[in-house]
Amino acid sequence: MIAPTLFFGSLLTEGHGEVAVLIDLTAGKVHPLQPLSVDGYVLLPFAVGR
Amino acid sequence: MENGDIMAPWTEASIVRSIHTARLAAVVVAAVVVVVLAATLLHHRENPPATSSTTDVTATLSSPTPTPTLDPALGYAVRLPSGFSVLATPESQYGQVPLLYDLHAGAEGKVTHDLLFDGRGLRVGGETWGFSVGFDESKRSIAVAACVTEECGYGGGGLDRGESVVLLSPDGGATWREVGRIAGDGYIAGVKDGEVLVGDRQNSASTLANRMWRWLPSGRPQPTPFPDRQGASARVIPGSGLTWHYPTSPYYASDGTIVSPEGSVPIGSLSGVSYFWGEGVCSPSTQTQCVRTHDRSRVQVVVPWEGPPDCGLKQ
Repeated sequence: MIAPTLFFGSLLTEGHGEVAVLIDLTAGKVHPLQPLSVDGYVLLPFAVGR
Repeated sequence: MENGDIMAPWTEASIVRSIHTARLAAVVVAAVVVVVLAATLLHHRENPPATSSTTDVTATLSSPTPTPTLDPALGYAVRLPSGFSVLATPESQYGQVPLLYDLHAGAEGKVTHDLLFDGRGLRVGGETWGFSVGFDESKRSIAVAACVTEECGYGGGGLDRGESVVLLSPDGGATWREVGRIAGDGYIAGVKDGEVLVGDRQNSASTLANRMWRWLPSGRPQPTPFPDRQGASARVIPGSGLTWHYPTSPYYASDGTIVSPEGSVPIGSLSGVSYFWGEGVCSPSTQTQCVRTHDRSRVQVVVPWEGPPDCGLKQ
């Protein structure tokens, strides 16, 4: 479960470009955000909030 | 009944009869037990006990449900959590498509979306897209820069004749108004106090020395922290303010002070604490990527990157 202290960031990875990640500061985990798509487009997320 | 009948002494014959009766009763009881046990075992073999099924189902339900991954190339991923929203733009092989979505994850993880901006009709011909987005800390003030010429950002021969229109929404994308125009290879560096910081050029020469920054709609120029140094890029980070970065340099504030050391990238702040991506500097002995805080004198590793070395992306 993702804790309320959720943080959004992007991680620049060699050969893979930018990866959107969710950072759970309480649990101390970094999760790549599952790809999102709309109308056949793969989306690049750049801001996450409540 | 007399007390003497009850208390009459046992004779040898009566004792023998009693023993035989007891043995017979024991044999009968044992036989019944054996029959019952055999029947029970046979019944259980043909009809597994309900308690076992319940245990199995409970175990299945209580174990984490694997999250299906939409892209088979990406593992170790999580869904957008319920109650969260995300601003996102589409990617294509021709650049970022000028569409801006606001996606919401509702109950049970169902994701819905609103289209906040569609600038596809602004471009005049061409194949490539040019699009950048910025927002303030509240995410209510959002700015977009969309290409309005045939090509943007890919001017050959060191020249770029493209142009992008900059629009600002003060209400989360409900309404938009034009606040200026920038070069086709320009971009939005951020939004702050109702103004948009853009990276632009002084003329059509697409060189680092020709790069300039200004605020729209006022046109107020934004000086760089080191005017004699080329290659600066600006970025307004919600919660952290305006930051500057040069090739292989730390991130600086506008007054030249270091926001985060070389090798780390500011990603924003939460509850007054700024966080950064770092590589190497988080753990000098290993090339570990992590999220950390930094207060100019102290570095604290808060969230080490524990995923696979390829960050969850499989080759």
